[in-house]
Amino acid sequence: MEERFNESVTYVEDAETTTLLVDNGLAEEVASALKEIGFNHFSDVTVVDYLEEEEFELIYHLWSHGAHARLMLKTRIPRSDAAMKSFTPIWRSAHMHERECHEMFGIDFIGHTELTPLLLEDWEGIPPLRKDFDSRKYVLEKFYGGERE
Amino acid sequence: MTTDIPFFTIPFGPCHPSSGHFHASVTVDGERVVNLVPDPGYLHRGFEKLMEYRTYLQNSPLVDRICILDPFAAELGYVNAAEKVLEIEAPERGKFIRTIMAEFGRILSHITWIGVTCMVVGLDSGCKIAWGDREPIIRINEKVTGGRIYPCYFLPGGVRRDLPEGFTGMVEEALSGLEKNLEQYDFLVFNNETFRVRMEDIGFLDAEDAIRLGATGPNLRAAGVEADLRKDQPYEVYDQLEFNVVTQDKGDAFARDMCRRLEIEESMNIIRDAIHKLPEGDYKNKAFKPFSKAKKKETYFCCESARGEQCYHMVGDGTDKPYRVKVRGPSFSHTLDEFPYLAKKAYIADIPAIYWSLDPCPADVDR
Repeated sequence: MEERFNESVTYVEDAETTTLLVDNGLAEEVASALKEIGFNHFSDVTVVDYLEEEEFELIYHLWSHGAHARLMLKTRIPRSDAAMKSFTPIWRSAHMHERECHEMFGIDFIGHTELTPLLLEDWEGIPPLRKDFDSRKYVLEKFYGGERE
Repeated sequence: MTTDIPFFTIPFGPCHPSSGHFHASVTVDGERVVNLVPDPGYLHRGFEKLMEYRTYLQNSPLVDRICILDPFAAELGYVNAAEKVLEIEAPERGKFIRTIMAEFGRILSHITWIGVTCMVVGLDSGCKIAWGDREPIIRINEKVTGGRIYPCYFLPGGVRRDLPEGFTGMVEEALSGLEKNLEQYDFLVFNNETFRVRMEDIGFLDAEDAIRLGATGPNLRAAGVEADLRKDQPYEVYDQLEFNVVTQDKGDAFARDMCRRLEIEESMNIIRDAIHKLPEGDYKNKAFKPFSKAKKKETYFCCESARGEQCYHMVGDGTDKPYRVKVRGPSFSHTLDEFPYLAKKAYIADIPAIYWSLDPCPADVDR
């Protein structure tokens, strides 16, 4: 891995986790390479909304059943153009996790075949897990007419 | 006679005795299922957003509600992740107590599962007996934590209070009662023809497909994969305790059932071993305060719940509230990926049996 991608991937390793930081254009290629070396379980994908930096950070959590190793693959995408290649062709189990991220953060996963609502019903506002969505304000307006003692 | 309507779509849930607040559209061709489209969300409560507004202490009782059937595992994953961003550590006794109670949570979850599974395959007496057998363990929960179902017991840095007097005797009494109950389950459920005919040779999931579809826990181990985070990436005090990882080879619904049945015994061994090795000392780290501030760091912590991999991704931003928490429940993949895969080409009558052989928790899917 280090030989193949040398300077384009940053390795951060501490006592608890190993993290790979990659440019979003290269993430798919790195992910395929990780699958090849044995990271066969796609555990989860998390999105963190860094509002001030105007970026989303996507964190893919991988696990190798053979080597018993866990790894975080991180990449950043701009908030204004929230699109990322889908990892579904690499890990089949990414399908539903990406669908949830699309619903909760509005990220467009290019190549994903089913980016339809998953958990929410008739949601029309901004995706609710984004930091600029204030759920307390929403609840106050929707259910209490704007005021609550 | 041929039918004029080859494909017919019927709903499975959300108001169905065996779906448990989960809805799927099942398309059938006669008796055969040709497609199953899951439609979760009936129990979505927005935990991840709620947690961003609450302190690390307030979130501890909140995560109980993620899955009613296994709240200890939800707490265990949460407090471990929180301890990493808060940079505090629980004392050894606290870790032992958490391990003991987490194993009680696993036993309770598996017994509840026996009850529900018996109900959906038409073995109603099994259901009544199993639900009755929960009581001695629920009473231990009550005595130790104060709560019968939702414990609100684990905190970052340990547990809320020490074990009560007479705990060892109470546990031994409950476990020896459970041993007798297990014999009864073997006779009444796992060797009963009603149960076996409904469960054997349906819903085959081999190791390759199980990994591809994100299976974890007993569903993966029933396909012959020896994967258990308690052994593979030990946390709490599991590396000091003696237990075996239960696996099965066949990969059908009955293999998944047997995995859970045999895991109850392993959990009992863990509890006995942990009580034997329980050290004296503090049960909580007093450095943790209600408004303790986390460091600017993030972590991903996974523990082995009754259903599989229960993970938390937690981002600390230097305040007393997490910046972001992502909850990864084991049922998410089991219900949304494996269940539709196994349902295809199955008989419609087998759908509840296949569904419950995966031990799904819709509350955990929706969060």
